[in-house]
Amino acid sequence: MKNKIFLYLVLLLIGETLLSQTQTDSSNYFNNSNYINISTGLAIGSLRDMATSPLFYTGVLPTVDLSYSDYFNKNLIKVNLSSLNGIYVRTAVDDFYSSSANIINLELSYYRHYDEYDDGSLMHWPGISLNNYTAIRINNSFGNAAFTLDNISSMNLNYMITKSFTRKAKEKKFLWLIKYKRKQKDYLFSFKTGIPVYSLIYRPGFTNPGNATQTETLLPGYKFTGKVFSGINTNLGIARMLKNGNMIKFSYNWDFFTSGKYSLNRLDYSKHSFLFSLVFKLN
Amino acid sequence: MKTKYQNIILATIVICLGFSTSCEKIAFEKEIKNTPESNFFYLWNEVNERYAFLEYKEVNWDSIYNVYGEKINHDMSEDSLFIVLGSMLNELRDGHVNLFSSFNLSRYDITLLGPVNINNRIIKENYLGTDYYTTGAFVHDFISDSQIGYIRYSSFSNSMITNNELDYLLERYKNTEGLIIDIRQNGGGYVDNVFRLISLFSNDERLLYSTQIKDGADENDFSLLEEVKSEKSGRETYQGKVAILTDRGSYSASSFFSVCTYAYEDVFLVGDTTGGGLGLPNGGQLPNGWTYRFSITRTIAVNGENYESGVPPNYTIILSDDADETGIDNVIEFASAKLLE
Repeated sequence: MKNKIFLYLVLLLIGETLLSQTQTDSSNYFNNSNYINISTGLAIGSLRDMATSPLFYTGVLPTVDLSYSDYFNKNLIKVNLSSLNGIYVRTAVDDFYSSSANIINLELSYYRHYDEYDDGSLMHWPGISLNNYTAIRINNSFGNAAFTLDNISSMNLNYMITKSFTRKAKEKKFLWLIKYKRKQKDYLFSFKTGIPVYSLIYRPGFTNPGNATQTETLLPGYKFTGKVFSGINTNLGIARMLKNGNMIKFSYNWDFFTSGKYSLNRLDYSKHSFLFSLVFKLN
Repeated sequence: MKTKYQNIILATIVICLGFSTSCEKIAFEKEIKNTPESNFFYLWNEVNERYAFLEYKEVNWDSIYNVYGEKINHDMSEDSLFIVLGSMLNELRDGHVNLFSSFNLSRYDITLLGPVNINNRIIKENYLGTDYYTTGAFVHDFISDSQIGYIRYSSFSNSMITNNELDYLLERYKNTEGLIIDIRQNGGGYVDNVFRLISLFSNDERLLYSTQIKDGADENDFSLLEEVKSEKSGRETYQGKVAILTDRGSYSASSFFSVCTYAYEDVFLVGDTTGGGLGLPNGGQLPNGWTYRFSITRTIAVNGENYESGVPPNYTIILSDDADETGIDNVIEFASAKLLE
């Protein structure tokens, strides 16, 4: 519930900001420019792995995220690497259970600027991406099944919009007394949504004997399965654009995955990530 | 027109994000309610679909459902529920099956199926004496006029066996006529140690056993047999005969070690049938948070047999009833005589 209230407040602020500002031409920011983005933040999520438990665990996962973006001739190529390391916890009756989690997410995206509906400030970017999610979780309560590895490779269809706007310089008063001049500031709003149209999932099959079988197989009992439309992921960001081309950015990611109701050892998870980023223009 | 289109997009974004947290709750199936009935059914079903030995043990799991299902009621206490579920699991007669809660642990004591085939006091007083050596988890010394090396290994879980420990044992006993490795009442531990201990007398690659993983809900749904082999190495090994002493308390990793010896002509088992436990247990959780474990693999020996209920010795020798009075461990004596033949 607290998350929802926070989310609504963020949306309200963004909406108010968008409506009260003037539009600016953002195309300059996307002309043959390269950016590197260094982010840190926190993800809060829930996870249920039916291979070992019917219970949802709640995760707190500090996040580090690196990405490189190359804008050229209406194209955008982006490589993103995220690392999330934290714990999933669950209380049941009076008992407490925990699982460590180390997640690496690698995404390679391609977007094409579609300018039919552009007005210079609002830009449309349809695209595709390949994503690989690897999670290692260890819950010692599960004995030989304590160790679980999930590897999910997805092909996504994405749609991103960006909108730039300027908050103009203005004379203002602090507490109706102290006069000051509010500086002009440029912002870039972005929203991306992606749908994994096909996911290849590698994780424990019907049973998970752990690594105790001593066979040549590295992960005995693991199986590949496929899933069409396994979830959705979104990103909402707002960046303050500095005069030197660098940016300071706040973003919210929502990522939701399910291997499906009838899948072998169903896996469900979602993550809400709040990130603070420094974006450096490289050229 | 463009402005209108843009406003629609922005409104859609705001609405979508606003409802995103709700969306995942719709897509996620609701958690199973924590009731005595749901916990009972969940556990029964997990065993029904995933336990590896229902057919082997000739357990009629459907009738178990009826018998124990009648004992479940909505208002029963946690303690009562634990007793019912634990008793149900004990119908599997398997030392690898447990139910864990913060207040109790259910278990099936496999050692009670046979006599304790060892008297540690006799071994200390009449075989090891007071100046025995302790190398890692091995307690050892010469016996039978220094013709035999006796190594007591009481647990596979104390620590990981190191090459230094094995090298020392090998160096000390390399000139003996035979070696006794005593794993009576050794309840198991790390399977890795099985292969390390085998390297004391094995440096070639050979089939030790095969394993299968339960991979479907049907009783006979198993993966293809996968061979488990000893490692080829350049290590020196013990060249004489080796006797392994076992009893019903030799469980799990001890049974794995015992079943591996079937692959070696100069290694033989003396004592009582082991406790078995050749299925590897994995764990899970119930809707109320309690955790459980049961076996989800099965092991096939080099002779094609499944010894889940116990690995039979080559020579069945039970500790004499008068061992206390005579101070003689007739299992060791038999093994020594066999090694010296």
